[in-house]
Amino acid sequence: MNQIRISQSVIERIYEIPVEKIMRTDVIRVTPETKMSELKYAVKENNYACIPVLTGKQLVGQISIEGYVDWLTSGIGDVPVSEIMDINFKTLHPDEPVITAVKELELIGLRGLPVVENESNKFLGVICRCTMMEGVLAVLDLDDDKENKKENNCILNNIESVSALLTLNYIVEQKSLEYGGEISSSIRADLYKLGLPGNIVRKTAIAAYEAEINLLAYAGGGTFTITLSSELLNMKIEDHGPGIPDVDKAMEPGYSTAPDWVRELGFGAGMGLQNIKNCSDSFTIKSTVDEGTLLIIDINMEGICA
Amino acid sequence: MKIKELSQILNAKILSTGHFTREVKSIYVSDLMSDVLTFGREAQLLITSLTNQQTIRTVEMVEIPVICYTNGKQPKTETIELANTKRVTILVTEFSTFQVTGKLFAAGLQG
Repeated sequence: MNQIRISQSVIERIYEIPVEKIMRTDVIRVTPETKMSELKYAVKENNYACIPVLTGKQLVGQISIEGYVDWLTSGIGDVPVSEIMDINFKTLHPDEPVITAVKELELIGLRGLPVVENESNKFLGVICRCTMMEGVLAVLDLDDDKENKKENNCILNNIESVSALLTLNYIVEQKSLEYGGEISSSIRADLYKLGLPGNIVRKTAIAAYEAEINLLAYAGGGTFTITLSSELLNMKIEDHGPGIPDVDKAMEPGYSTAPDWVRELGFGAGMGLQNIKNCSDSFTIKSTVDEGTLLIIDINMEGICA
Repeated sequence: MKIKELSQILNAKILSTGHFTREVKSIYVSDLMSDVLTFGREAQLLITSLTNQQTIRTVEMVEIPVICYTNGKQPKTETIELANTKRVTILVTEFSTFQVTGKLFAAGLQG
């Protein structure tokens, strides 16, 4: 679908990473005799990907999230897994490159695929969309070229169906504001690792940091979702905090409701939202009192490639 | 101006080396991290009397390689550790923010 611009060397490395390096091995497995009602925990624990069904070490079937939902809504009773599971489904081999996994996931539209040993069909792990990016970053991290990571050339690449690869999720947990910035710091490091140019990373990092301080100071935490495409970097920042009663007023430079303890850390000058807006090419804020706040920003990638 | 020269002018202690060979051309002075994030983006040195971890996070985001704490304020161990991880140079000087700014201005740093 989209073309993405990340550095050629990073792309090459992603191509090369074998599935076994980034698969999840700690997923919950079930047997054909397991009752469907017992899968609730497994569904969540396995990142809503798929639940492998094993007899001994052999993979004999799988319950996809779609299959599970179908069962939930079908009114069929609490039957054993064997009556619901898929028997014919795509599997991956451990030595296949990650890019194959991405294409398969997009093609079939599933959230996860099991990985089995080439000949024996022995179950090894699961590739799931939501942890795939984490896995790729961890591998890139291992052979990261410390000094040169910022100097990557930005080259236009044409990879089809890579959208599953390029969503990054981060959770800001409620803790002391003193630790604010840890997540923004990870975001910054991850974007550099992907070879994004400095000016894009810097704007994103500053916006993320301002937002992270807000999440900790007012909302008790929240989440970041970053989606990369050829045209833009989209960042959603969501919380379930108290909401902002008067958004227009909150946007005014200098307007702040920050308590002293926020100010003592060097923030709360009423510049935060405005600064996030300044860093972005498109800025939307939606806030409902007692429900929370959603901030969506876009940063254009246009014109950054030579 | 090299960091070494800068630390001599300010009679500053170096608590974290970071990119010690970097050249400092432009300076931003503020105790308000929000302002640093908004206006301090072109600077290579931040002068401030605030010494918490957020000062390091802030310079990390705007990519300012050197930070100078004034009034002889000693940062906490956590701050120094974070600076080491993020390769930020920390200088501590006994001079006040006003004096530091004056001295560096007089030495030819004007931005």
